[in-house]
Amino acid sequence: MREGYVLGLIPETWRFELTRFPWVRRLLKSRWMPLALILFNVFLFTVILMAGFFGGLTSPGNYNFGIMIVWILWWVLLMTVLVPVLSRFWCTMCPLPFLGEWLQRLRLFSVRYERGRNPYFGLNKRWPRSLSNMWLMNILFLATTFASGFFTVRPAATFVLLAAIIALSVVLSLIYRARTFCLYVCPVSGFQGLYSNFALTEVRVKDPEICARHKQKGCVVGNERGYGCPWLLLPYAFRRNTYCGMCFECLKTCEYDNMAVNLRPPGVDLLVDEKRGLDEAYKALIMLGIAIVFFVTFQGPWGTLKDWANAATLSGYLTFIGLHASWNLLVLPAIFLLFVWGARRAARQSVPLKKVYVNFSYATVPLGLAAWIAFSLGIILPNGSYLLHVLSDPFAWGWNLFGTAHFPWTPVLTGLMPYLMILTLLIGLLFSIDIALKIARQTFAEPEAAVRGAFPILGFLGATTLGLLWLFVG
Amino acid sequence: MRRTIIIVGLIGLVVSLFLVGSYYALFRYRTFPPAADQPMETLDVPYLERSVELSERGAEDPIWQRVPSKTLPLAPQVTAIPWGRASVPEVTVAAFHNGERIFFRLQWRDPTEDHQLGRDVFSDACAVMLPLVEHPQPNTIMMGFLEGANIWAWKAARDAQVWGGDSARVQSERPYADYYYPFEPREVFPITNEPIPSAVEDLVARGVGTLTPRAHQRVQGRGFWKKGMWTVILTRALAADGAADEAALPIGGTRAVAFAVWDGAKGDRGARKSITGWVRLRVWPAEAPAGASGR
Amino acid sequence: MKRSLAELSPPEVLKVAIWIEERNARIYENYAEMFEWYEPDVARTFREMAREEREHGRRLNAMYAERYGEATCDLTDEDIRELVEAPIFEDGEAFVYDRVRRRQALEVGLLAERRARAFYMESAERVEEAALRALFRELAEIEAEHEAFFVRKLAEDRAAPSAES
Repeated sequence: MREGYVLGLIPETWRFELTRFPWVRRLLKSRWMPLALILFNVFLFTVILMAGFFGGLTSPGNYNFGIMIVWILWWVLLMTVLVPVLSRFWCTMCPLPFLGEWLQRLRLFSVRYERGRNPYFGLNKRWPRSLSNMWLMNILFLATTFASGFFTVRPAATFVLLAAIIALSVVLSLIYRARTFCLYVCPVSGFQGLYSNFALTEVRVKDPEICARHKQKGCVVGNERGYGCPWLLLPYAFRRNTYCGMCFECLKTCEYDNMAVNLRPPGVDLLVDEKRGLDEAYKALIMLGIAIVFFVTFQGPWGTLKDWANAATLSGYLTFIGLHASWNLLVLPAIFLLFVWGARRAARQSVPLKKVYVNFSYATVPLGLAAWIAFSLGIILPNGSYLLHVLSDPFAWGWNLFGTAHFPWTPVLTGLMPYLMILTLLIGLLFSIDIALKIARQTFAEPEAAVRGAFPILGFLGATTLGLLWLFVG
Repeated sequence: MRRTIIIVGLIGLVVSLFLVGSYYALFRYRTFPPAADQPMETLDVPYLERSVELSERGAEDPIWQRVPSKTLPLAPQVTAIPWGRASVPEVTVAAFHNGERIFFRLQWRDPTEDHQLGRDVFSDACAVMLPLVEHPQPNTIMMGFLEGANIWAWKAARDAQVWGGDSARVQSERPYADYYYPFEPREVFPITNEPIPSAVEDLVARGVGTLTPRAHQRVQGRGFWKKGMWTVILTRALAADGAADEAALPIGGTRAVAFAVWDGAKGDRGARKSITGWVRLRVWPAEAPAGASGR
Repeated sequence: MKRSLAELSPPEVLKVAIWIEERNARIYENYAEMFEWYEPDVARTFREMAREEREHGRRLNAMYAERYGEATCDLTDEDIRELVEAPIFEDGEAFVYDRVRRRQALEVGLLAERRARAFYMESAERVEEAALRALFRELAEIEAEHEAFFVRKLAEDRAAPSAES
C-alpha cells in the first residue's frame, strides 16, 4: 500500500475545511451553538428520565421511551453515525454535564470574563494525576455493561444510570475544574474518544505559525468571546480527536479565526504516534470484547446466558460478571498479547513488548467499531418500529400524541441484515489491516521487519473477523 | 468559607435528589403500556358443526371455503441466532372449531417438498405459538423475556414417519443419539427408535433455549405438498388438559397467536425460520353474531 | 507585504530582534497564565523565562541605542516572513495527562533559543552584506548564551531532589 495514503487511495493529509463556508463558521462561532442543541437534548432527556422514573422495574423495555430512545436510537446513532462520521459530536450536544457546566460558569449563554480570565464557580481542584487517563473510564464502562441486561429492559435501571451520571457530573463539576467528569469519568466518553480517532471530522488549527506568533492564547485561557478549552486541551497544538469534545469554544475564542472544522480521511489519528498508552490499548480491546459479549448474550441462542445477565439467580449473575470481566480484562488482552509476542518475534527487533502491544492495539479500533455497527444494525432494524409507539405514548399513560401508539412491531430490512453486517465487518477489517501495516512500520524500524511483524497482527484481525462473522451470520 | 458551604450544600442536595429519585423509581413506580403489542390482525375462529379428517380430502374440504382466512406476512426471525433468511414471504391461515376441537390450516408456497433429514438436509415445517397466559406481557428487546408459550410444531420429516410417506428412507436418514460409530456415515444400530405419536410436537418454551416437549402430546396434524404449496392441518381438543404448560382456548375468548414457517431446502431449521407478528385469535361461541363466521 | 529578515538593514534586523524578545516574553507570560491554576511551579518557570526574555530585549535595546542612537524603526516581528525563536508548548494533551513539569517548560525555551541560534547562523551564511552578516553572527552568539542559560537551568532541575525523571 502506498505510504501516506489511507487504503492506498486518499492522502492522509487530505482535508476539506467545512468552516471555509461563512455560514458554517458563523454558526459554530455563535454562542447558540451548541447551546441550542444541548437545550433540545435537555428537554429530550427530561422526558427520558421521566419515562424511566415512572416505568419502574418491570415495564417492558420496548414500550418505554427512555429505553427505546437511549439504548435503541441514541446508542445506534452514536455507533453508526455520530462517532465514525462526526467524531465526538455527541459530546457537543450532550445534556448530561449541562447542569455542572452551568454551575461552573454561572452563565447559560454569555461568557463570564473578569480581570482577564474566565472565573469559575466551584473548588476548581485538579483531578488526581494517577487517574488522568482512561483507566477509570475503562472500568466504569465495563462495570456499566455488567448491568446492561437491566438497562435495556428495566426503565428504572436506565433512570438510575442516567441520574447517577448527572449527579456525579454536577458533584465533580463543583469540586474539579472544567469537564473533569467528561474527561476522566463518563463511561461513554472513553470509547467515543478512542473511536473518534477513526472519525471523518476534526477540529484543528489551520496555520500553526499563526499560533506560534500569537501572544495571548485565548483558546487555552479564554477571553470575552468564549471559554478556555473546557476539555483541558491546548487547541493550538493537539493532534488527535481523543479528548476533543467538539464544544467549538476554540473557534469562538481564536482572534485570528485560525481554528477549523475539517473533513478528513478515516483513521488518520490512529497513526499519530504520541500519547499512546496501555489505558487506550485496553479501551480498544475492552470495546471489542464487549461487542462480542453483548452479541452472544443478547442475540445468541443461549437462554442460560440471558438468565445470568438478567440476574435470574444471584449465582448466575455473579457468574456472568465473572466471565464478562475475565474475558475483557484477561482473556482477550492475553490472546492479543500472544499475537503481539508473535509479531515481535517475527520482526526480530528489540522493541519493548509493551510498546508493540500498545501500538498495535490501535489497529483493532476500525474492526471494533465495525463490530459495534454490525451489532447496532441487529438492534435497530428488528426493533426500530417500537420507536413510533413510544413517541406517541412516552410515559405509557395511554397517550397517542402522533397517532402511532398502536403501531405494531414491524422489523425492517431484516432479510438484508446479515449482508449489511458482513459488509460492515469487511470494511472494518480492511481499515484495520491498513492501520496495522502502517503501525508496523512505525514500530519496527526496518521495512522488512515491519512486514514480518505485521503478519501475526493481521492473523489476529482476520481470526477476529471470522469469529464475528460466524457469530453474526453463522 | 461561605463559598465552600454553598458548594457542600449543593453537593448534598444533588446526592439526596439522586437517592430519593432512585428509590422511588426502583420501588414505587410501575407502569404498563395500555396499548402495548396489540395485534393488528384478527383471525376469527368460527363455530362450525363439522370436523375435517387429517387427509388430503380434509385439507381440501369445502368447509375451508366458509372459514375466514388471513394471509400474514412473514419476516426472518432475528432475535436469536441463527437468524432466518426471509425464505418464505407469507403464510395463509384459517381456523374453525366445532365446540370440541379446533382446526388450523396453514398454507404457504414452497417449490420443493423437503421431508427428509440428514447431514445438511433439513425438513420443511410450520408452527403455531399460543402464549400460556391470557394477556401476555409483550416481548422485550434483547433479553427476550416471554411469559411462556405452548407451541405446536409440525415437521414434514415427522409427518412422513407418522403417516408413512417414504418412511423407509426417512428411517435410515434419521439421526440417533444412542451410539454412533465414528467411521460409519450414519447410525447402523437404530435400536432406540421410539414410536412417534403425532406429526405435531406439542411443546412448551419459556424464553430462548428452553423448548421442551410437553408430557402429554395432544396435538395432531398432517401436511400435504401439492404443486408447490404446503397445506398443513393442526388440531387439538379445545378444552385444555389443565396442565400449566398448555394454552387454553376458551370459547368466546380472544388469545394472541403467532405462526412460523421453515423452508428446509433453504437451510431453515431451529431458530432459522420465518415468523409472523402476533395475531388476535377470536374463538366465537356457537351463537356467533351474524356475519362473524364465513366469508 | 511581509519581508525576509535577510532583506532588512542591520538596524531593522536589530529592531525586529528586540520585538521578538518582547513577543516571546509575552508568550511565556501567557503560558504562565495557562499553567497558573494547574502547576504553579511550571507557571513560575515560565514567568522566569519571560523575565529572562525581557532582559534579553533590554540588552538588545541598549545595543541598538549605542549603535543607532535615537533612529526610529516601525518594523516589528509581525512584518517579517520567518518565524524566529517563537517558543511553543507543543504537547496539546499536556493538561489532560497531567504530565507537565518544570523541565518541559525549560525545554520549550531551550528549543526556541536553539532554533533562533540556528536561524541567525544560517542567515549569516546566506547574506552578502558584511555588516548584516556580522550582526547575524552577533545575534547567534547572544542566542547561544541564552541557550546555555536553559541548559544550565535544566541541569539544575535534573539535579534537584524533586525533579521528575
